[in-house]
Amino acid sequence: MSNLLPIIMSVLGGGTVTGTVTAGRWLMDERARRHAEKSATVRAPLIQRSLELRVAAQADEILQETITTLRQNYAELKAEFTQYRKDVEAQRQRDLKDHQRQRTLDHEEMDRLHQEITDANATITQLRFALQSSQTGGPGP
Amino acid sequence: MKHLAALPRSLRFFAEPFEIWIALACVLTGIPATIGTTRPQSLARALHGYSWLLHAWGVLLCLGAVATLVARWRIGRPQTELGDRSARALEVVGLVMLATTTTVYAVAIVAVGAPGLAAGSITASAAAACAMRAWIVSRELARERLAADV
Repeated sequence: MSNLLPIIMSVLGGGTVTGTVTAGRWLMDERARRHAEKSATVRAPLIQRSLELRVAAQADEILQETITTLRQNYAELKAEFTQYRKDVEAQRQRDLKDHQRQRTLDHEEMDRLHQEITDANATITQLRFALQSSQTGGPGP
Repeated sequence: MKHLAALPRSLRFFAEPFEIWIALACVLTGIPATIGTTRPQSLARALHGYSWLLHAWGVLLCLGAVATLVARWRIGRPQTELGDRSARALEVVGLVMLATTTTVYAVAIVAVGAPGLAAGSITASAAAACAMRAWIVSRELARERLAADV
C-alpha cells in the first residue's frame, strides 16, 4: 500500500493546485459581484432621481405641447366662429331685405285691391242709383 | 443556463441532478471521515499511518460538496449576471474538490484488487463526471469573461 501514497499525494496536489486557481477566480468573480451590488446600491437612489427628473421633464414637455395645441385649436375655433357669425349676419340681412321687399310688394298689391274694391263699390252705388231712378220715375224729365 | 427558466422554481436546485446527489452522498461520507468516527476501509488502508491525510480528505470532501450545493442553490435563485457567474465559479471550485477526493477514493478502492474494480470504476466515473462538468462550466465562464472584457 505504501506505493499508493505518491499517487494519492500527486492527485491531491494536482487537485489542490487546480482548486486554488479556481478558488482564486471565484474570489475575483465574487468580489466583482459584491462591488457591482454595492455600487448599484449606492447608485440606486441617484438612478431613481434621474428617472423621476426625466419623467417630469417629459410630462412638462407633453403638457406644453398640449397647451400649444389647445391654443391653436381655440384660435381656429374662434376664427371659425367669427366667420360663422358673419355669415349668419349676412344671411339675416339678406332675409330681412327679401322680407321687406316682399312686404312692399304685398302692400302695393293690397293697395291695388283696396282701390279695385273702392272702384267696384262706386260702380255698384252708381248702378244701384240708376236702378232706383228707373224704377221710381220712369224716364226722368 | 437557459433550461433553468423552463423548470419550476422548486426544481431549479435539481437542474443538474447528478451533482446534487453526488454532493449529498459526499457530505454523508465526508462528515464521519472528518470527525474520525467512520472511515472508508480501503482509504484507511491506503493511508495507513497518515491519519491527518484521511482527515484532510474528509474535510476536502465536505468542503467540495457544500460548495457545490451552495453554488447550485445560488444558481437556482433569480439574480444578476455577475451573481450567476460567481455562483458557477463556486460550482467549479466545489466540483474540482469533489473530483480530487473521489479520484483519491477510486484509486484506494481499485488498489484493493479485483473485488474493488466495480466500486472503484463507479467512484472513478463520479470523479470523471465532476471533472468533466467543472471543465465545461469553466470553459463557459472563460468565454463569458472574455466577452465581458471586450
